Amino acid sequence: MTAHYACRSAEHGMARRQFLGSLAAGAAAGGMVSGLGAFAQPAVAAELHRQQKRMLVFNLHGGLSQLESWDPKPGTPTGGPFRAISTSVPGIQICELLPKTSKVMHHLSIVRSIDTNEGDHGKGAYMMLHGRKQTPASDFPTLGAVVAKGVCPETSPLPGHVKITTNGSGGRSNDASYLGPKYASLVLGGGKPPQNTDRPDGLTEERDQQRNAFRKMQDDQFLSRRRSARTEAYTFSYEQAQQLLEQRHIFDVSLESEAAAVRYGDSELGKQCLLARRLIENEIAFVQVTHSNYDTHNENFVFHLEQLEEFDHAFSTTVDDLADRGLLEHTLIVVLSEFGRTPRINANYGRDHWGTAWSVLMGGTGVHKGAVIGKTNDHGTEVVDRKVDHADLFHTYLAAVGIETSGSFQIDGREQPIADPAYQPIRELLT
Amino acid sequence: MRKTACYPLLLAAVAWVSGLTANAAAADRELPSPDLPIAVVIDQQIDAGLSAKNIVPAVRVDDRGLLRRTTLDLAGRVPTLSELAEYEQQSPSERRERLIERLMESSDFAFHLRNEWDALLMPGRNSSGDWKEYLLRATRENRAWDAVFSEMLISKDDDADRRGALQFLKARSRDLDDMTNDTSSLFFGVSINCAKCHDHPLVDDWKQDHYFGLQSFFSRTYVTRSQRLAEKPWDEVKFKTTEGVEKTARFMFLSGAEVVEPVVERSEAQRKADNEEVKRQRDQDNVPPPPVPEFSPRLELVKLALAPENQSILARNIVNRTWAQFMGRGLVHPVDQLHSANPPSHPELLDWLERDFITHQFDVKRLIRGIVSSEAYARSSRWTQADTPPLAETFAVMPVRPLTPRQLSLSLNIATTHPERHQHTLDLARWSPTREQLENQSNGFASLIEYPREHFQVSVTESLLFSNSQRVQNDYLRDGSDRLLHLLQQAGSDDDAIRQAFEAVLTRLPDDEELELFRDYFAARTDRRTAALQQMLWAVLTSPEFRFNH
Repeated sequence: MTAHYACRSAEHGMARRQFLGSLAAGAAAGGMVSGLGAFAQPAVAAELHRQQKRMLVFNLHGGLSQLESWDPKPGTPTGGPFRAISTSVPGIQICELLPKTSKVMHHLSIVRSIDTNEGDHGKGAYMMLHGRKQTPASDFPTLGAVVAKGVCPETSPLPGHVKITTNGSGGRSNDASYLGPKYASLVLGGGKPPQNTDRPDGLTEERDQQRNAFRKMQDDQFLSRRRSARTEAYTFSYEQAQQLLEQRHIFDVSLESEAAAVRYGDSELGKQCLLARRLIENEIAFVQVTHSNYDTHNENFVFHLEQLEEFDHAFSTTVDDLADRGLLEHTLIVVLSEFGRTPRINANYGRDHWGTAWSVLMGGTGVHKGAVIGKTNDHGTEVVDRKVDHADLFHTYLAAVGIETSGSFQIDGREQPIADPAYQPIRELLT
Repeated sequence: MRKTACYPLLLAAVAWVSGLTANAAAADRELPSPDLPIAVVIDQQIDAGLSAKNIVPAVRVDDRGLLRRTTLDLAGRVPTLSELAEYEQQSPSERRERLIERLMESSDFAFHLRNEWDALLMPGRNSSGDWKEYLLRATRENRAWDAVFSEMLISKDDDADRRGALQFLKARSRDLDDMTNDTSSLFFGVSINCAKCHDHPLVDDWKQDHYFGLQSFFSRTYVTRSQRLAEKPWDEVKFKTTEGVEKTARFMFLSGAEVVEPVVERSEAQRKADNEEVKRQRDQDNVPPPPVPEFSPRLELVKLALAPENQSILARNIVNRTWAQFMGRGLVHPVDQLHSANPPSHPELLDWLERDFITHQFDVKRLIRGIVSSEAYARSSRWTQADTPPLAETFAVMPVRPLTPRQLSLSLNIATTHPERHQHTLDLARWSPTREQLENQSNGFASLIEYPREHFQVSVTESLLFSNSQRVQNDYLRDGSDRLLHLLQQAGSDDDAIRQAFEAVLTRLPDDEELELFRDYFAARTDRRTAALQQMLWAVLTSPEFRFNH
């Protein structure tokens, strides 16, 4: 069985070769013309701009409290001090810490019945972002790598898997496992553009294009009788590098208008969200932003008050923006954590790790709007309806962006199931 | 070992028999005479496979191509121009053999094999200095593979020459599954992690007995606070079958062979004291070395694995992995799936090589010499026949293999340095310190490159590095008297400069078309010749012809 990609149309069969072929032709014919010239050709441009599915993940690191967000239980011993408020969807209430999000609820749905039974940060995060349990002797690609592999045309000139981090210099990471480095995340450390996307000092554009034309001739000479997936990927990586250089502006959030920056807010998360919106708009298949830190063993309520104020603003602005631009039709939004937090309030007014009954928010392409899946009991201590596990969610995300999750990737003659075959998508949530 | 998802379990289930049946099968089949040279048997067997399929293999690669390939494989770098000159002075009938002999005696060989073993045994881990020193000593002395294996498992921390080997376990000591599966996969060719938890109605208990049996050899192993590898006096591995029955693991090797621990009555007080001693060793500095237990499970595992009736498992794995290192694919593929449901492409050849390897005291260097001397190794990587290339397992055409980070880094350094700097490559004694320097210099750039494992493809991160980093610009394209660029600038004519660049980087001369292309370009760029030379140099350095071994 092979994977059914979202974009597996007949046109895609021809895409790669024709694409590379046209690059080579462009280079050979013009001599001076860089491979990028080919992108200006209408046929190729149209191919690239076919509406590709995308996914934007908000990873609320440390473990968001479901009780202070998507599944409030006001007035109960476990509910804490905050009220529940109505949303733009009649009948759905969320915590009052999310007033702006409540107004965009009609774009979103809540899964309230998650039981992952895992209270360890590392293991919980692994499950939620890999769709599998972590075992010492095996490793799986992350969600972003699977989505990129599943929805991006092979010819996609831009990386399909981008993570935005608050700190660090960025660079490559090693999270694609058997899908290979091509699908590993490009990390934008501190929201900065990727490394080495500026020409080195003293190298003009014209000279760079010339040397690339020479390189392509060397490629053709060598590859004429030695073509393999690896050599093609090698050649393609240079096309991709040129394209990234050309498209560096996609990653440069400072090019957004002042007004946009103001709307998203001055917070780190706000900047990340604006960059994320920019990337999604430019058809990057998978983007992940992270908001830290929700690990509130002490003073859970004060922390959630502060954290969620920042989140509420940046997140609701992102949803609004994507909706306004028609991008929600193509983009799945997911707000997740490694786990939720205990209904029991501890002696330090904190809530501890809790994988037994918690929530995830979804919205956009492939999922119903304004739905609630599952239910917890009155005190939020147990799932009472439609229990959902980590891998069910993983199937659901992939299905929503059009990947047939019962398929397998063919990797060097081995079949690697796209998602854990023991689980299923939440079909009633899918459109 | 690279971690992968579980392989279909039916296959894993039969894995265990392979070790047992390999010997029996070898005895049954009529193998070629043990007195034949390795290369002769390789070519007999590979050629027989090709004739049976009516395949005419690719022609032999040209001499310069073979020089480049062999030097990358034995020295871990491209040839220097002095090596090229010497090679071509030799008579054509002798140059290949003399090349192999010289390279295998050079310090390059020890460094390169050390780097390959490091990548094999410590994948993705930042290996320590004493580990690398140990491996280098082992490759310099051509230490037998069974000795290397046993030193990894049971050498003593007080043995300064060998304790580095213990890093194999120390680096994995926090995780019993890592110790178990990596030992099994890397030394026995059997990735057994699936047998831990998967279900099969017929053989489940049996598989679990083997997995946990192997695990029990490591469950007492721990690292003290002073970084010594120690064993607890007692521990046992318990596991639950799928029926929920709790079992205690027996000390069982993959072949099914077992050892039984002598029963020693230990009082409650003794147990308590033992536990406290382990705790003290783990938590405290400045305590006497940990006591040596009377029964050492790791020692027992080594004894079992090296016993005459079981040693074929250890031998077969390294023979297959070494073959894959030089031929681009194992006789059994994937290399961690050595079991009867995944048969070798050339069963007699693998059996013969395994027998030869055991007969010759697990001599890896002898095996390597045999492989690189074969005609199968010397085939062109170009497939010029009309039809599509035959399957990789026929070995009809040489696969194109990505360079390792270390090969790439060293080769960039050699190729872009002024050839005068490396004019002593042939004088082994004078070359040795230079080679060591090169090795150290190559660390930095190598760390920026991804190691080419099973699913490797060059990613855009690497091409961005080569395209735009100041580092590539400064390290490899810069203008300076010790640089290749300087030689090109001094060349008498543009044609000379083009030829020198191609020889230094690609070990070949440019063809007419290439010569003409660059000649015309330079003629129009006399005002900025250096920049034009840099453009040419960059283009050949980033060509797949340089990036791959072919």
